[in-house]
Amino acid sequence: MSNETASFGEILIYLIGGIVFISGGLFTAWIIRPKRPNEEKLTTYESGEDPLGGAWGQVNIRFYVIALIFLLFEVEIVFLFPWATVFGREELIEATDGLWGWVALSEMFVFIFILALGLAYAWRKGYLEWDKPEIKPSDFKGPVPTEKYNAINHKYSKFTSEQPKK
Amino acid sequence: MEYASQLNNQLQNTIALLSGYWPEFIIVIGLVVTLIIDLIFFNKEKNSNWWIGFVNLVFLILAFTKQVDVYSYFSNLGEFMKLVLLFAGVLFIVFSLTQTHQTKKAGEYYIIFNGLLIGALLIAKSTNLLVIYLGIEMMSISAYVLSAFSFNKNSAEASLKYLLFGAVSSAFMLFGMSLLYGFTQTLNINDFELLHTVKVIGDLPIKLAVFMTMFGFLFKIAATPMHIWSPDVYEATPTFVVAAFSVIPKLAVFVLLFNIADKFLVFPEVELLLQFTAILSLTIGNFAALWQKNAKRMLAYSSIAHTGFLLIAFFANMQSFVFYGLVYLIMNFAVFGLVKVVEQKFSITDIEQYIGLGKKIPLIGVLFVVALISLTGLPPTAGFTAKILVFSGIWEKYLTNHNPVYLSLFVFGLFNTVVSLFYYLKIPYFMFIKKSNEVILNEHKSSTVLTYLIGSLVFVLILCFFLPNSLMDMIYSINFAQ
Repeated sequence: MSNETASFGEILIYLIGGIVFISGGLFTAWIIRPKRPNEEKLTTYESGEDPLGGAWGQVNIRFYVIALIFLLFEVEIVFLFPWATVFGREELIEATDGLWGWVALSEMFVFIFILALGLAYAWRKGYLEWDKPEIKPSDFKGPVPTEKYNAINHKYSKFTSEQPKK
Repeated sequence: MEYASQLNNQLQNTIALLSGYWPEFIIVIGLVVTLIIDLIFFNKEKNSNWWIGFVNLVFLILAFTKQVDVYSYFSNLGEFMKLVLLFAGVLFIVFSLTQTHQTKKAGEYYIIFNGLLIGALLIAKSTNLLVIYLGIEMMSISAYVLSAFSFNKNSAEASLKYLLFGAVSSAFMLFGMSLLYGFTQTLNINDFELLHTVKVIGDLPIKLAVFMTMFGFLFKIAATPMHIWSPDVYEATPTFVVAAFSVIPKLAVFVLLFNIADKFLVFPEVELLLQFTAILSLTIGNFAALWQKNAKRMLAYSSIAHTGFLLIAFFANMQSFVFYGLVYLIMNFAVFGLVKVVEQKFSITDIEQYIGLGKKIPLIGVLFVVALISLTGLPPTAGFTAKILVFSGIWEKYLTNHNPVYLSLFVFGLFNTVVSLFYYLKIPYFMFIKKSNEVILNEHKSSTVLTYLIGSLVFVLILCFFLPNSLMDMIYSINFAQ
């Protein structure tokens, strides 16, 4: 077995280590923590927001656009760091009379230019705009008068019904 | 300092070698320029115009002429097929330009097509697994997006299906490639010499890895176990895009198969798998096509069957493959162009609605007949010459090594040609022979330029039957030894 294959053993150790640490931590917590659940504690934690609906609910497509653009620049950063460390070596640049540096630099500029074009595209074509959809009131005339709806809405709205539960 | 001077040489070498990549560079530059023009002149309110495709066409033709230079220097199969791929690209854009009231988002349409073309060129050129993977992904992702360009419900469904199947197949392929890398510690296919001599791991894992890698390749050419995506996609996608889909990825991946053949096919099982796939594609493609009612769906199954023929040609010899591939390109563009003309004129794609069209549009009808006869492989068309070359090639192979598999390839090929006659001639039957009680169809204007273009393609098909020499000379200029 060659060296490179053997060095995958280190990854295996990391994997085992990770599993042991996480399961160990969870197990210890499970033993020593007090178990007094209430409704508030059992809800999904999402940065302090109250969760709405199930996990299968539809998400606005615009979130994906934002996520994609975020990913674009995340990848750029991931790529830029090793590039800076690998290609920025002074002795190599000196030894090749600057050619090494120019090649690396121009390659990275092309890369960033094309990435920036992607952002420019999304911007110019208006995919970054979050204009509110215009909600047209329906021309449907129901038999129930509007005041009754308003009364019901008022009765069950969050601010009036938020009494502490027993 | 020894290392540094070596590095300097290496760098200068690499920069010098970059001149072999001019066609790809030009397409990338074309893509970027088209995108910038699209961004400057058009935005959310103002949709892109047809002339943006014209700008793109100029770059593609430039790339084509550069590729002629590159080919005259290297003159191997990969460079020749790149020439063919670029020709298909030019044809696609010219076809698309005849629709002056182009689709929505014309800018994106051409830009994404360029992405597909670059992917195909990379596949045809490369022998490095990483670049091959990149090329296949570039081609596929562009294809997923392009298949949604009808902007309707069916199109979105087809695109999603294509994406899901494609993602699974490339996951398999990537896993196979990673295993191959693990076994050989190299990504360069030419260094795979050792593949069948690596005894430490045993044969089974290597075969498994090769199978998995092949899985992804076969998906792209829509060979049978991996063909289920193609009918839906072909039916819902804009017709010209289908013409491009049925030619460009296929030919590119077949060149890849030639490139890896002597490394991967050392295992008899892999060879047998490919031969079995060929027979299966032929049979299932042809028999499924018999029941189709939609012209585009029928042609999808026909293109699955043609994948089978191309695989037979792959086993016969390179010359017959190149001839078949070229003729297949021309036939497919002609037939899909004709389907588009009818679609545009009468907004129909069902074969049964073609009834009595032969009298209304006789020129289109005649062109249809010739193109479909060529797809079947009957004289006097180039399809016949191509099939003759393939069959004689495979027969010679059988005579030299008496492998019964070659005989069965030969027999199944012949048998399926007969089957294909029935569904190809369904369109002429409905157009000319079947009597109809005058159905009134709304007639729209269709592009006359497009009709002439298709007419010249069909003319080439007939010409290549009577004078195949010029084409053969071109093919024999390829250095097949590599």
